[in-house]
Amino acid sequence: MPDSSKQEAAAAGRAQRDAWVEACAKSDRAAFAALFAFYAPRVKGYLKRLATDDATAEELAQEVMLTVWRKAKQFDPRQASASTWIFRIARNRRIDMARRAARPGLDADEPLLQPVDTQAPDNAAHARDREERVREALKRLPPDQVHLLKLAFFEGLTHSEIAEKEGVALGTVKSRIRLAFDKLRDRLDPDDI
Amino acid sequence: MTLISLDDELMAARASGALSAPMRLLMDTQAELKTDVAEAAFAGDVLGGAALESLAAEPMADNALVIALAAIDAIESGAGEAAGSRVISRADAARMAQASLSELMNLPNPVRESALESGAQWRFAAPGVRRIELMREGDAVAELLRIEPGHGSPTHTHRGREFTLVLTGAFADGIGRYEKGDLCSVGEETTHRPIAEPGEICFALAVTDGSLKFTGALGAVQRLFGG
Repeated sequence: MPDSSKQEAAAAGRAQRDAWVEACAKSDRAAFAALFAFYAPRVKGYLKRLATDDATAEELAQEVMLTVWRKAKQFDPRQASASTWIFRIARNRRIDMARRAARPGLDADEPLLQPVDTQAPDNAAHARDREERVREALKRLPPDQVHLLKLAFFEGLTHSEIAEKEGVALGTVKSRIRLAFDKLRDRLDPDDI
Repeated sequence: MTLISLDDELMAARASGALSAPMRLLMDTQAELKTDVAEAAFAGDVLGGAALESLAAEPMADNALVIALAAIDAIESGAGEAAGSRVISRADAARMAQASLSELMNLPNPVRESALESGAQWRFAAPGVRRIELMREGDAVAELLRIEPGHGSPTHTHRGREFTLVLTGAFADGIGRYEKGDLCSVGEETTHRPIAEPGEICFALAVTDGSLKFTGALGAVQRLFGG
């Protein structure tokens, strides 16, 4: 498949998954089943790196997917894609576990406890466009730089651990990650939009 | 105390979920106060989302969807509500909101949520200083400090490096002056006593993480004076 049609297919896939989350907000269970088939095994794969065993990862993936259903109304495809949104939910499992150990508290979602000033940031309308920009920049990076970024930003390795794993000097790891990450970040520069 | 900027390594650790909950609270809060931190955090999340998409699927149990749909049935029939009743009622929430919570309402979202969820009970820390422990995970602790003008956070010891992020107002510690959005850091061995400036009440988020391993290239920037 030529690159351009591959990219179109990927974008269509993302739009489809966004639509499924929006359908979940309207209690569409068929859409949930489709989301579940795509994301549950991936979320499980991600959580397996943090959790100890298969059974725990399976259970946590179930909880994440249930959160996706409960919070589907809060999903805004203009802000981020379904993948970015679900990735955040999966990652926040760790925060939730820390919170659970804390004292009983107030419900932070309680409408009476919301801040007075709830206006969205000025750039909210362009947020999704920003995600596409980061993804484009990511596609243009050489595979070895993408690999390093994944080790740091997804696998959660320290720079020293990456240096050891890859057999590269620590300074080289730092400068390569800096270079690659700057390319993604630069695409968010307001002057550039 | 030194003014610091968060580096790529911590940013990556935040995105991946490898940071302790208190450290991530610190970074998510600074992202609400500083545009460049917010942009880096956003780029990190997009990276994570893209990596999640391309991750090899880890097969779920054969009946996983059936289990999920049964859990949804339970939520929708209201059975899930009773289990979550640890949370304080709406009426209580309203009463507390009128009493002492209003100050918390305009703090950055991650801190506001965390303060509410931990019960929002202020405790005496020193004259003019009150604190709420927001979260604790292993060696990592996050506290919200409320410092009245002219008062200082108590002299204290902590395990590992301590990070302090100014949320409102400003404070000075004899070496530097720190205002909203500034993050400063002090080593385990250092004794310091920041004093809130006259004017606004100074709210600050203080985080220590005794097990933090992502400090390799933490950029310390000494604030310059008179030049």
